Amino acid sequence: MLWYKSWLETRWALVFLFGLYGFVWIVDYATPKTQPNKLQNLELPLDVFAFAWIAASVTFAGTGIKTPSVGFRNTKGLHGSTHYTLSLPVSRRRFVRVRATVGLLETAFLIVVLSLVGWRMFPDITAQSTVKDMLAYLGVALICSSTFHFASMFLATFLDDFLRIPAAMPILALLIALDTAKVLPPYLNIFRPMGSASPLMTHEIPWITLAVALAASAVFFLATMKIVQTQEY
Amino acid sequence: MSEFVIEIAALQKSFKGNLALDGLDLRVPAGSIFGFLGKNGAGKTTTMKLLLGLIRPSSGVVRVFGWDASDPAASIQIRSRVGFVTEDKELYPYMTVEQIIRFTRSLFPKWSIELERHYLEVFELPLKRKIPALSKGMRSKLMLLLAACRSAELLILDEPTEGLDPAATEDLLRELVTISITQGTTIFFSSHQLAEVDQIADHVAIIDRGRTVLEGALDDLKVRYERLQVVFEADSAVPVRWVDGAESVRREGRMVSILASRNVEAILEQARSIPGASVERLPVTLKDIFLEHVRRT
Repeated sequence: MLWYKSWLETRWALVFLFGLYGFVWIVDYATPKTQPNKLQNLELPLDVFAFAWIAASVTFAGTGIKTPSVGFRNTKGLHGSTHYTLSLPVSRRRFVRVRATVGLLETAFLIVVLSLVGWRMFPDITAQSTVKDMLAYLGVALICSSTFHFASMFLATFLDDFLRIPAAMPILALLIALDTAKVLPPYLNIFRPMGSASPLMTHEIPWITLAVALAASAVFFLATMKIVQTQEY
Repeated sequence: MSEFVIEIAALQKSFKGNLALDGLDLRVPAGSIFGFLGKNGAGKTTTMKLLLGLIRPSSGVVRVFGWDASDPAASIQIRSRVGFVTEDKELYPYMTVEQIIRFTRSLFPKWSIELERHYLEVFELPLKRKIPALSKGMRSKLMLLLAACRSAELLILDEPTEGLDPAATEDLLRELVTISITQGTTIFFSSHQLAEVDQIADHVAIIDRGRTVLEGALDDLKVRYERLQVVFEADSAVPVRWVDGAESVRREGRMVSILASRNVEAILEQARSIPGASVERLPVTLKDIFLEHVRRT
């Protein structure tokens, strides 16, 4: 039933983001095509998609131990339900594992459903890509967004929710800035393969970037496990 | 199983250089209702956190059911047999009463549905209400339900009656005694309400500045300590020094109140030797004993 706790913690965020993204998709679909579409340039909508997936994965992250913030209430210094959680006969690692799994599944749900819907809704994308490209895109988006999920989970070990989510975004801003400044080797940029350099456009799978994303996820996950195991509450 | 459910020896815990526990020693007998007393900041909550593995000791030994509470694997075993009521009575704000009961029930195979029904009825807990909408008193009752229904062998309760009205306090204390008698559960609880502790505890420990200053069966302590009240005439020569065993001597006008732990007869004799003095033996309360020990330090 740990999944149940994680689900109750995050379900409204899932509903909110699903509703928000769905609304944007529908508005775009409903926009008369005789008018100039701001998303005509495919790079931009795909980068918007990527940003949406990152925002979702960051939001759904958590350790499952600290009390989630209610609204913008600062819970720093308060133990909240943390002591109750830790008094249960469950290891801290299991709390983290279950919470990470539920968060990733929710992110995957959003990515898969909205990508498939979006793929059907944006004829420009459909025209340029095959089903195989779409499947590759889904895999790449899941793996690359998971890095942000684990980074956010790592931040959750010492930040409140309402600080954690904005704190995770500078990681993305840094990636984009380094990419724009051409400082970052392309294979280290885990943002672009979800967006404008995705398999939908390139028709290739960025294996090295995927390996980088998985490695970064593993580092964040293991660091989180280590911290949670030794942290005092 | 050991005669003692909790065994703590030379326990030290410091937070960023500040010593919260300074060589604490404690043994809680199986089946007892154990009152854990101390002033604010004495180290009660820290001790409870150490018992549950929420924090690790700086040095010393913490054993629960014979297991080392600082070992993460053993701590899970310990927590499967322990119910805990936290100091702030906070639970998951996104759950209803029904949901948190369902969630907690799933983690304890020996969960008692009969007890759950009993407490839901006795405590009048609204199943569909969200936890933030419950009063602190209701949350205390809910936490007791969650702790008791898991058929725990040890209940660790951090100020369980805080925030309860007198009637609810009485209900909760009665339920604690019932749990102890019917299930043989050891109850280890902290409280600032000494009358409550006096009412239900059979053992107590008083800690101050992270050290145990007194520990034992409450009845033994009450027998061991005696209060003598000496009323004397205005011109009587009251002794400056009393016979060894007078733990505290307080003078108010023509009255001296003595709390004695031994040599009571010798102290009585000394008091009676004061010309014109009348001496009375009074029953000792837990409050007398507590105040004496925490004031002394």
